[in-house]
Order: sequence, then C-alpha cells, then structure tokens
Amino acid sequence: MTPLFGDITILHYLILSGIIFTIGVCGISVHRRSIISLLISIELMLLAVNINFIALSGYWHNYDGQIFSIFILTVAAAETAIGLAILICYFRNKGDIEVSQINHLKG
Amino acid sequence: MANILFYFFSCALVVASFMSISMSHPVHAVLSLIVAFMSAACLFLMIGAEYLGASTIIVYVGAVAVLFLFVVMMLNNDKISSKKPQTSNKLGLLAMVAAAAVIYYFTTAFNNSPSFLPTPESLAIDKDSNTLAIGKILYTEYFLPFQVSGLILLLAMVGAIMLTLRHNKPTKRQDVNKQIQREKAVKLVNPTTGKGVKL
Repeated sequence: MTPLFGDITILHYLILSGIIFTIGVCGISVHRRSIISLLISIELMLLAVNINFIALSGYWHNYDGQIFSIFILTVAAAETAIGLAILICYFRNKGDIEVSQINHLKG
Repeated sequence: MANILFYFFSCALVVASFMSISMSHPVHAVLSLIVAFMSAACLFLMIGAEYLGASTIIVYVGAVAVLFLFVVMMLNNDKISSKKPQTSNKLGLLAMVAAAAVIYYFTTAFNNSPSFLPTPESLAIDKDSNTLAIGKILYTEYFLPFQVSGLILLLAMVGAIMLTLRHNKPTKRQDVNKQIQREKAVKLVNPTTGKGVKL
C-alpha cells in the first residue's frame, strides 16, 4: 500500500473516519433528549464523511472528492442554520426543547 | 515528523469528538466540537487539501460553531443542562465496544491485503496548486451543482430569517400600504413673520 505521507496510508484515514462516524452514531443513540446534542452528533458524522472523501481524493489524485466535500460543507451549514432556527422558533412557542414532547404534528 | 503530527491530530480529533458527545453542558460540548473541527482541518492540510482545510475552519469554526454557541446561550441554559441523558447509556457503551471490535477486525483483515482498494494509476505530481485545481474543475465541470449549492444557501438564509423574525408591537416599522393611502400628508402653509405656524 502506497503511503500518502510518512508511514501514513489511506487505511489510517479511513479508520479515523470510521471512529468519528461511530462516535457520532453513539452520540445520537445516547442523547435522545436534547436537540442540540443531536445536531452536534450529525455534524460529527458529516465531518467523518468529509474525511473519507478528502482522503480518497488525495489517494487517487482526483479532485472530484474535494468538490463533493465542498457541497457537503454547504449542505451541512444550511442544515445547521435551518435546524437551529426551528429550535429557536419552537423554544419561543413552548418554552422547552424536549425531543420527546415534539410530537404535535403526529395528529 | 509527519507520522507524529498525524497521530497527534487524530488523537485530538477522537478525544474532542468523544468529549463533544459526552459533556453534559452544551457550551462545553460545542467548544470541544470546535477543537475537533480544528484538528480535522489540520488533517486535511496534511493530505494536501489546503482549500478544504481553510474552508473547514472558516465554515465550521467560524460560522456553524458560533451559531451553535449563540443558540445555546440564547435558550434557557439551566433547563437544558439539568437533564442528563439517562436512557440507553448502556446501549451507547455497547455500540462503542462493538465499533472498536469492528475497527480492529478491519485493520487486521485488510492491512496485509493490498487489493481492497485499487491502487492509483499515476502518482503524478500535481502541477497546479490545490485551490487552482479545484477552481478549474468547480467552475467548469461542476458549474450547475455549484449554482444549486448557492441556491441552497440562499434558501437556508431566507428560511432561517423567516422562522425567527418576530413582529413586536413596540417596534416602529414602516407600513408601505398605509403610507401610500394616506391623504393630506403634505400641507402647504404660508407663514407670516413674527408668528408661528399652527398645524
């Protein structure tokens, strides 16, 4: 396996990204209650995906992965802005942001 | 040297992201998220993706994390932080152990077999700098997705403003409709010297 730099191969980056993604998934499963922790976990998972894309892009000397990573960055920023705006709106109406209480749209 | 730097930043990334999900106080969680993003940006720099490293710092640390901090401080802080995660703590621990086992399995299984990824065909040194090469592709081949991503950002901006804007009663604001329909808005007065004008 050809190293990217030093002794670091693509495998190191992929394992690191797997660890970060797993931490994000665990965060979602542990913090069922507060939306802010859920959003932080989603950001971590998106960061893991970005690491994967960029590492493989560096491995193949192909810039398509980095372009896609830019798009992921854009969508993540938009998602965070909308999510936090919804959170503020909900907090103003209800005075609380308990996830288990947010079921009024269920009908 | 590069190995030491990689291991340093990756350890910082893992520890910071673990802390960002395990901290009970949301402000601490967001601060460790910032540390995680910074070390991820350093890892991007080490692999040669300079533009992505810089834009990760600008977008995530400069915008997203600050947005998180604003929201955490705006909302009622005591109410949020007092509720600790009580359900499925064991489940998360179990998932973490399972993840460690899976990662160990994959490293041992794939480390000796070079064929799980196709090797790169050419290891040609890139002529252009990273930002220049990205720009050359982004503005030609990926022009339409680039425009669409701009549209997504516009949509997010309009949506966030629409969701959070409030029309308070005491706030003075201009009502254009009312202003246009107003009559006798202008009055011509011929003032005499020495006396004031009574409107």
